[in-house]
Amino acid sequence: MKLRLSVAVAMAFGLITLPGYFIFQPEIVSLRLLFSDWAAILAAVALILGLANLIMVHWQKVVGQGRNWLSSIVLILALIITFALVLWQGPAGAGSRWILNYIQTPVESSLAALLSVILLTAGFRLLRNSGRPRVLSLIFIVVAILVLLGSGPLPGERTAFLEQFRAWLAQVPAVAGARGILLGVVLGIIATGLRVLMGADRPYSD
Amino acid sequence: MADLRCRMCGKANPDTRQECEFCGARLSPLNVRQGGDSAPGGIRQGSSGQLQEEESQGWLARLREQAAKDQKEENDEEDEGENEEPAPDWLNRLRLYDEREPAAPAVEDPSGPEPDWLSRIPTRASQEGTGPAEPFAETPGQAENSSREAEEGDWLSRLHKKMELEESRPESEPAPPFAPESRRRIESLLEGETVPLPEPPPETPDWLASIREKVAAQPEPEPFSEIPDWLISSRAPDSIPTGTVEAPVAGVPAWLAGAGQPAENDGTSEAAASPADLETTPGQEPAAPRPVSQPPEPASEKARDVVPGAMPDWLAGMRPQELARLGEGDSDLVDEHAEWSGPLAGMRGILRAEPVIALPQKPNVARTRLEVSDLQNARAELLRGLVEDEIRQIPARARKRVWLPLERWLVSLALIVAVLAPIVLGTATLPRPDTIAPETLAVGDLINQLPPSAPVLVAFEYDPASIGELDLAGEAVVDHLMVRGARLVTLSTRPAGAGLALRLFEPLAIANNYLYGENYVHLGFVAGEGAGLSAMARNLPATAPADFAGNPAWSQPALGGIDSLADFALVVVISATPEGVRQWLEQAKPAAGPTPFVAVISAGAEPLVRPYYEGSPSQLAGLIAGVFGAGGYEQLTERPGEALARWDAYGYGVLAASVILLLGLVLHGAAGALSRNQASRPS
Repeated sequence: MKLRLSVAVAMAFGLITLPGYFIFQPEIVSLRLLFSDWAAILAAVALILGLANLIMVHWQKVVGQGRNWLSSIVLILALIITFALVLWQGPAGAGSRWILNYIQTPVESSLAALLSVILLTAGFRLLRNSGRPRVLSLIFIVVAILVLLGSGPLPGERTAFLEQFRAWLAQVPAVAGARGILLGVVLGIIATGLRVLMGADRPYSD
Repeated sequence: MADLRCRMCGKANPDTRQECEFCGARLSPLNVRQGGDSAPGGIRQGSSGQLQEEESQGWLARLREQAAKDQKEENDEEDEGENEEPAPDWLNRLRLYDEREPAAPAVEDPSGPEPDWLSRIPTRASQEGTGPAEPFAETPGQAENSSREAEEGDWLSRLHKKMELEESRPESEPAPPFAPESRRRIESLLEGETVPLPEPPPETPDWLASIREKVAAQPEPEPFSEIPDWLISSRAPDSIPTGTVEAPVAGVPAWLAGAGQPAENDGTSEAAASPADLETTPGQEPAAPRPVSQPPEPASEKARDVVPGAMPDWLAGMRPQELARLGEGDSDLVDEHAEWSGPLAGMRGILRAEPVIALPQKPNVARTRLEVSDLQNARAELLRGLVEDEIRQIPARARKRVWLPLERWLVSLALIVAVLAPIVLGTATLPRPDTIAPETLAVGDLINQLPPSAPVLVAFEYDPASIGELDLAGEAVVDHLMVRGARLVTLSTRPAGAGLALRLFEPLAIANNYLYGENYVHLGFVAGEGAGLSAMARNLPATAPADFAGNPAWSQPALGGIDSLADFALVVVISATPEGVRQWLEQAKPAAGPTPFVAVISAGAEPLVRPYYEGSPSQLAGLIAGVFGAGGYEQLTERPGEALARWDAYGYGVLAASVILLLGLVLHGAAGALSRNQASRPS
């Protein structure tokens, strides 16, 4: 009964909102806009629920002394301090900005830097232990090298060939592939929307 | 208190109990009639109880009276014995019989002297046609008894002779003590006939007279309808004096009933037939019955007493009444299984042992589900794990190979050196970009074409992980906008984006003398991503009524004349991912009307964002991708900033990455080719 009710609500809201983009009747458009506003509010509430869920998960790890429960303690303490500080000073306060500039930003930037090292190491070992020549791997490595050389400045004289080759790769093959991907994404979104409207997919159910 | 001895376990119980307190067997049989002198109790050791007195006063008192009468008659006749020692009455009577009767012919026995009573047993058996009696092996007890009776005179043999003599005596002769008259009286009493009580002699004691009166006042007893087998068998031989009959017991086994038969009797049967029991006065406890040491009977004789398929009466009397009723009434409820082996072979309705012992059966106790808590389950699992670990064979641990990620360390070291060295050394060896990409030039042209104080919306759609790349490009664009004097309004649909925007804006605002509220306003975080953008596109003041610090935003001069997205002269989206640009183009671009949109993106997002710029009509008016685009834009605006300051670090880093990939390609490619050649070479 609960599942049927949720399916009915989802289908009803979808079927009312979707025509609002095609039928410019004031009632339908106003309903679509009203539902869009509700969706924005629900998204903000979902952020709070996610925060509460994060606290509960790590609190259970601390109570049960599960794996890396000390890290969970650090997370909970950091969350509580940050939340209290932002609640007290506001998001533009000195304390919350200090946390952002000197804790969050360096940590995330360092992780992104590690990603570059890991990708480079993977590229270095791509042809390792290959019992037979892998053409696609070889093409991948060669293209990556050429794009890198064309993306950055090189010592000495400029190499127009590399810049043009890089521009061609970025504008023709990459755009072609990206458009194909975008079309696929759009088709997937449409199919997913239709499945949700018909009740075939119930991402909101348990 | 009188004791009631259990027939099953032989232990004494108080007479008030109905069941044995030791084994639970019923003490009094169920088919016993209550009241009257025909109601036997158990095997009683004492007679002090009122009930037992009443039971025994009936027939036993009459016997005593008759014995006293006979004694009196005989005392008149005898002229001997006055000088002798006073002996018990029963012994005196026996002596009288012995003197009257002629001596029986002695039976010669080569084995030695044999008691008279024993020697008469074969003779009497031959007279009755029962066949010769089997010789008895004389046990020490028997020998002792024989010698004692030989010395004192066998009262039992004399008694037998006396009774034979009585039978052969004519009716006119006076009846001796324990004459057939007494026997007939007992038999008639057992058969239910009314026996007139003799008049009490004048010298009868008062207690005996009161007993007689009490007996006379009692109603006539009902005739015996159920005479136990053992009593019938005891009546069969005429040689047993009736005085030896004890209180009728319903459940006396056959072997005990046969004790009264002379053919099977030995010297110890004196205890059973001793008149001393009869001489016991009420209120006086008789001596405990002496153990009868009979020789073991052959198995054939035991089997003769137990009829196959029939339950003895004494055993039937012990059956529960409910079971007896079931057997009589509802035959469906009675187990008709017949025992086929053992001493109970042929019997029906017995309790079978197979269902209890051999046959599978369900437990009588209701099966209850065992409830195990999580803690108990965890402990059980722990215990099981321990037990399994005990029997598990742990293989020898291989020596762990020390593996150093040398390649990873070398790659990291090469990158760090390539990036940090130009920054530390402050070199500018790499050539600056002299050609600008068309999409980058389009952004510069749009900003250059903005009128003074034109409102420009800048969206920060990236996270701190991308500040190394997007802050450089974003600074170049924002600096250019500030140079142009545009009124800047910033916001973000990402929680961290609002803080990053403030972090980027403040240094540039200070450098360009921008004042918050007058020249720029930060609206902060707009929740809902795509939905939030859609709502903002429809009604921007309602979606973001306050700035990042919580102050009213739309009353500030920087937002003057702005009611919707269409009022902005330019929208700049700084995004690390293609999704950020796509959401703005899908949700906000339709509401913005002719307002151009430009994007500042990371180099990795360029292939997926470029189609929006390459399209016709293009949804993006300009595009700046990565550090390379930021350097070109700074070069375009001739305002070198962080992008050009890190140009060498960026260039050498890219060069190091290319070299590392090339080295990997060469080394591993060559190694793979070599290994393949070695594999293909014949051994």
